[in-house]
Parts: sequence; structure tokens; C-alpha cells
Amino acid sequence: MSNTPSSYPVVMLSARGIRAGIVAFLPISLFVLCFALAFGAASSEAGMASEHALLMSVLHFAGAAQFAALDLWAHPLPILTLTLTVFAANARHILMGAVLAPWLNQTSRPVRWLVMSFTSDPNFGDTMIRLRTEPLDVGRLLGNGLIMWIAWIFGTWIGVYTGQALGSLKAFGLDVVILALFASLITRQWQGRPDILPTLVAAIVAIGGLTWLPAGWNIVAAALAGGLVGGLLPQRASRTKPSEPQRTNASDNGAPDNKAPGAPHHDR
Amino acid sequence: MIVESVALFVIVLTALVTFLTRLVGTELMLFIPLTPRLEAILRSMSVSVLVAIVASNLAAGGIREISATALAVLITLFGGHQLLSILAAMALGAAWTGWLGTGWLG
Repeated sequence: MSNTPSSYPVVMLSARGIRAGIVAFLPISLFVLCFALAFGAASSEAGMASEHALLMSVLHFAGAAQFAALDLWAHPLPILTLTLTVFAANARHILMGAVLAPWLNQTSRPVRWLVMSFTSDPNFGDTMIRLRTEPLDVGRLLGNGLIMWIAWIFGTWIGVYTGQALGSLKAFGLDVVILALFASLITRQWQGRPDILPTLVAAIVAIGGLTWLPAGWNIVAAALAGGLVGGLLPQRASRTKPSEPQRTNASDNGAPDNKAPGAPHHDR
Repeated sequence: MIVESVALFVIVLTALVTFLTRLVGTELMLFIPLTPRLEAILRSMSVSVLVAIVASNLAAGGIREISATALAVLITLFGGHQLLSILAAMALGAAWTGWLGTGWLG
């Protein structure tokens, strides 16, 4: 890497980090389990063999893509459409990898491949918040992912065999779990003015794309559009300076410990 | 009926695709210099992905989903724990469906 390690501090992979990551994500894993239960139930409804649903959860560990694949699970299997849809629904992993690259590329290739294999929305989101004030703990990120993966498999297993008995996801509010999780992550990540235009564009493209893009592609298009707008905005002028009190608006309350002067996202 | 071997093939194929998406990001960045502008793009992308998922879900949902999401945002804004915001949204969603059913409000 051309970047100095000091501006992207990393705590290398350790058993202690993994343990801490597992413990920290035990509660989140309960929700992952519920979500997986929903997937297991939906898979048997879609006519997917139970062992295939389980295998999918073991190998994919990607909720949005797995649900998207279920939508297309019909005879004859549309192999190309399925593959493209899964790619689209998972394309955000590429972005996550790119975002984490300055830190992760300081580790060896096997380590970062291992860590990325277990990186998903919740631990990515959690890590992005932590990176403002502390180094990237590779073990913690992996531990987060491992416990979610186990919960994801276990939940699928329960769902596959008890799915019909569960009934509607809406009755338990399970369908809004992912919405609430993401909404809370966005709120905590929110940096005020520089985020407004990119996310507005992303939302418009995502909603507009619902009707004229194949499933999953609207998210990819929206992320790219939001990213481009963020890159086109004037760099320094749009940044909130840590010392300016009048800029600290209500939306920053969710993350009281940000704005550390030396944090990676502020020292550009 | 779906042919078992084809289904297995599709699952393994899509698993490989998924795995690739996880590996490509970090590898790609070995060859691309991380300028402040690119950093801004990546940062905007990371929040845009989440916003896009929420926005398209809300557009496909109704007042119930919007209310549950708004509640989660409010709780987070007032310093509430992430899990509290999820539980509250779940409770709202479940209660909404329980009381109002699946009519136009549900």
C-alpha cells in the first residue's frame, strides 16, 4: 500500500479479537437467527429442497441475495438471471471490500480473504462506526461474522423444518428487522451536510430503479450514483470541521464520540 | 419439479459469485491509488448502499414499514442502543399487523 500504516491503524488478527467480536455480536446474532428462520421458512415455501437451503446458507451467508434467489426459484431454473441477480445483490460486498481496503490490505491475503468471507452488512456497519475513533480490529470483525454465520445456518435449519408452523413474518415484525438495523446504522454513520446529496440521489435511483431495473440492480446503481455524487462534491468545503459548534446539529446526537480530530475520515 | 443436480449446480455457482464479490474489493484497491476523491466516493457509497436498501424496501412497503423505520431512527437519534431500536421497530410492526391486520394500513 502506498498509504502510511499510521493513518489506517490496524489491530492484527488475534484470538482475543475474535472472542471479543463473537461476544459483542451475540445479541445481533439473535436477530440474524430470526432472519435466517424466515429464509428457511420461505425456502420450503418456494419449493427449494431443505438440504439445498442449508447448503446455500453455509456457502453464501448473504441474506438479501438468498431471498432474491428464492424469488426466481422455479422450474426451469433461470440460471443466468439467478447468477446475475445474486451478483447484483452482493455487489455491495465489492464496495465494502474497497472501503475496508486501506486497513485490510495491511494484512496477508489469506487473512483478508478469510475476514471478507464473513463480512456482512451488520459487522461492516459496526466497523465503520468504530473506525472513526479506534483502529480496525481484524479479529473482532471476523468474530462478528463467525457468530452471525453460525446463527444464519442454525436459523435456516430451524426455519426449514418449522417454517410452515411460523406463519407470516409480518405478525412477528421480523420483516422490519433489517430496515430498523440499517436505519439505525445510517443514523449513526450520518455526518451531516456531505451525506445529504449522495444519499438523496441513492434513494431516488433505488426507488426509481425498482420498476425499470432487474431485482438487485437498483441497489447497485443507487450505490454507484451516490458514490459518484459524493466524489463530485467539493472535498474540503463540504466537510464539517470538528471545532465548529454551530454545525453540530441534531443528527449528530446518535454518535457522540465521533469527530475525533485524528480519525481517518476527517484528516483529508 | 426442479432438477436436483441443476439446483445444486446453481447454488454452488452463485456461492462462487458471492465469494468473488467479497474478495474483489480489497484486491482491486491494491492497484488503484486511494486519493481523497476516491475515499470520498467510497465513503458515500458505503452509506448509499444502506440508504438504497432502506429506500427501496420502504417504497415497496407501506405506512407500517415507514413508521417502524422512523421509530428506529428516532431511538438512535436520542442515543438509544441499536438493539433497542430494532426491538421497538419489531414490536411496532407486529402490533400494527396484529391490530390493523393486512388491510390498506397494514
